[in-house]
Amino acid sequence: MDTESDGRRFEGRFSNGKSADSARVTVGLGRNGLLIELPGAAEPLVWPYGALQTAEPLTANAIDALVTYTHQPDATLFVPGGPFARALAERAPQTTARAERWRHTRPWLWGVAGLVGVLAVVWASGLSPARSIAGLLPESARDALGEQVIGSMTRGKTVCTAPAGRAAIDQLAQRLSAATNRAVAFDITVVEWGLVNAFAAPGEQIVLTSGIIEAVEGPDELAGVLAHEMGHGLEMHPETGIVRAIGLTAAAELVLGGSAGTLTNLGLVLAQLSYTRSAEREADDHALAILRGAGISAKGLSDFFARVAKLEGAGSGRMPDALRSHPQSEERLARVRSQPSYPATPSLDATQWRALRAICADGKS
Amino acid sequence: MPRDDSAALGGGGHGDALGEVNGYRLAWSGRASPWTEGAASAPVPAADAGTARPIEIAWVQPLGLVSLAVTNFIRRILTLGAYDFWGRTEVRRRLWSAVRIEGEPLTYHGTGRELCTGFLIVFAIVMVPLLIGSFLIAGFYGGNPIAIGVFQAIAFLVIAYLTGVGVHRAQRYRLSRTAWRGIRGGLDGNAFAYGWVHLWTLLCIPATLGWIAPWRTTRLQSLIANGMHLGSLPVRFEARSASLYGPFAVLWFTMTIGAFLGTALFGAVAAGIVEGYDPVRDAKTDAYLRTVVGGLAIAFMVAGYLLYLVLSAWYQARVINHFASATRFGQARLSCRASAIGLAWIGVSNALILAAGAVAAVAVMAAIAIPIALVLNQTLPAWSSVALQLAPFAAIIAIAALGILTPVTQARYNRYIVERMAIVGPVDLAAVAQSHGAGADRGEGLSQAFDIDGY
Repeated sequence: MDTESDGRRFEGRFSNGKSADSARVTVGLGRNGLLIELPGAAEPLVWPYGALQTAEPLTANAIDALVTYTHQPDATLFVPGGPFARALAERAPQTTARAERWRHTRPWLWGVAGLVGVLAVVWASGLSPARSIAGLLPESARDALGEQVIGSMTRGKTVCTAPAGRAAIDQLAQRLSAATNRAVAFDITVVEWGLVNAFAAPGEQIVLTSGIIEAVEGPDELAGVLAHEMGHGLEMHPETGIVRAIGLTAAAELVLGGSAGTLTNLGLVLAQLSYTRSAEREADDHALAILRGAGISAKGLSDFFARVAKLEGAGSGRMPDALRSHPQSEERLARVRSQPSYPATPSLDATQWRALRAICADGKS
Repeated sequence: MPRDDSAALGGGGHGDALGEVNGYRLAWSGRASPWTEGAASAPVPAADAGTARPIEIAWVQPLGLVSLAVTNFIRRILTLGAYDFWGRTEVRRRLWSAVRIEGEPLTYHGTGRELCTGFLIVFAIVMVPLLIGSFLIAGFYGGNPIAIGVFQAIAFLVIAYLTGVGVHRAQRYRLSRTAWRGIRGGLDGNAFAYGWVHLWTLLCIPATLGWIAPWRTTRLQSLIANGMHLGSLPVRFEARSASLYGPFAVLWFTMTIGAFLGTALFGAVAAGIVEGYDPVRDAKTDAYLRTVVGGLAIAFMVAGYLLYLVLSAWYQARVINHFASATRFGQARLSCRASAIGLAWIGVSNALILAAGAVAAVAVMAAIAIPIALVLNQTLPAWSSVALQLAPFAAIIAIAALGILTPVTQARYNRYIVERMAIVGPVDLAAVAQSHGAGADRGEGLSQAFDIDGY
């Protein structure tokens, strides 16, 4: 074994890893490894540079080095003073801070590349895990979720139940529901709320605000809005949104180290949802099919879009909130207008419409 | 005490540790073993092999903690927090290494991967079921406050119990990854038993108006400390909570009487102000009066908090010192001289350091982000909606910034304790053998999941 040293010698302490005692040793820098002169030993112990580790990465400011050797795992060599640490860093580059930084960074680079790849595949193939999970929810769970959402949205607000208005909205809902591709019955809840909005909730539920009933001009516009929200419901967009929000909460807990938070205000979650452009297009497609099936003119929907587009163009702060997050109203308007015409009757007669406009005015519950 | 880090190895008050080595006769008895391969003859056993001697303990201030803290913070943000496990590990390596026993550093062998795996396992078996449970309860019994209350109570009990289990397992993990002179530490004992004591004594705190606290602290420390060992050297912990009840009574009665007297005094002063107030003569509004009384209330609360800070630091110092003197190994025991003023100062100054770090971090990030956002906003109209969606991330970063300088504050606390710590009595180091028990593989997840992890 090569025991030729460069002449420099350092004082250190050696522990054999069998007991907590240590021996004072002299350490030389051999050509291939550290030469550790143990007391009483005729020849130095050789620790090859390539198999050495240090307890802390060696920097230019290192004040000492605690060295271990792969093939003698518990034994330690402690050498105080910067000169030895710097000499060791030159000979065993794997112990330097720079080498360690690279060792630590490499797996992260691979991880990021892998993650980007997976996300790219998911995005390119149009997979939506949240939607798949939402599709697996049993009907009872979706109904219960819907009840929870409606409950938290109407908390502290008045639910409007004037009998004549209620009869009118129920008749409109039945007429539209019957025209859906799955013929599911939608329940409509009207709340007294100045906000101009309509929400689809899980379990074929829709919340209309008194604000939107006042904002629309005529029953066909309201039918268009309802048909659009039914489209969201048929595509399970609210369920998907809630599942995604839960997933994001779990992810946030992962990121933040977890704080065992609970997700109880589902209404708030849903109110904050904004659907993507393709989701809006799906809802619009359903809306057009429903309106056609129900024999209600799509002009109401297009009039509503036209007004929204105008308000967006004017940058008005009074733009209906329901559509604030809906991009490209112009484009959607063009799609609705391009539909061929078909025989249609008004969605509600004048008496019913008056009753519906007054649904919050009397008979409050 | 001031110290030149580059020269100090054994601690300023103890002289140069290496110089001492020159005067100390080797107690290491070498035997023929694989590592002496090539040696012509086995080392001669020293004459005083196995003699117990006093042990020095000291702190060598680690360099570059601030830059490490900043680097870790940036990496945490870039990896959405995932780097935390690796960052934590790096900090521990520095903090462990700063503790010098007989001039040689403690070493930390844990890895970021172990911490990460532990956390993911706990996340999957504890956090995800809790999350799904809360979701299902909200879904099916959302309108039923009793069902929600029952679920929250069960979740609280489960979390409180698992928190205790997590504390024990985290200690076990850390000790098994700690070594000195290659001899590994360890922790025996049952984490579930610890979790149970942790839970029922926690529930007793309100029932006993807090008076179970000294007994609880002692009992929990005893369950940990009596299981600790360095190699074959076991730790014994013989603290009695009786000697903590005096200081606790002082703390408890001072705070209770203080709260009573403070409230009474505040009431009297506030009433005096209100009665002496004449809207016409004083030409002041009611709002002014409310401001004065509100300010007075805040002043009383601040005074009460400062009193609590000093008193609780005093109690804490008594606990630390008592526990240290009750911790024995071999013929030696620990001794600690922590003081109320010292602990209170460390606590207050560390809070200020953390606040300053958070403010600086947020200011730097805002200085970078705001001009970029303004420019983008001018050129890309759609950017403003993207920026709004990024706002929650900004909030997460701001929260993470609060902890940016924790490595510095941990080092300050550890330094304070280690510099006041001494090992009294001799230890026969040659008799301390390596332990071969299997260490914890990945035990830290629980405590990290519930954010009770000290380091």
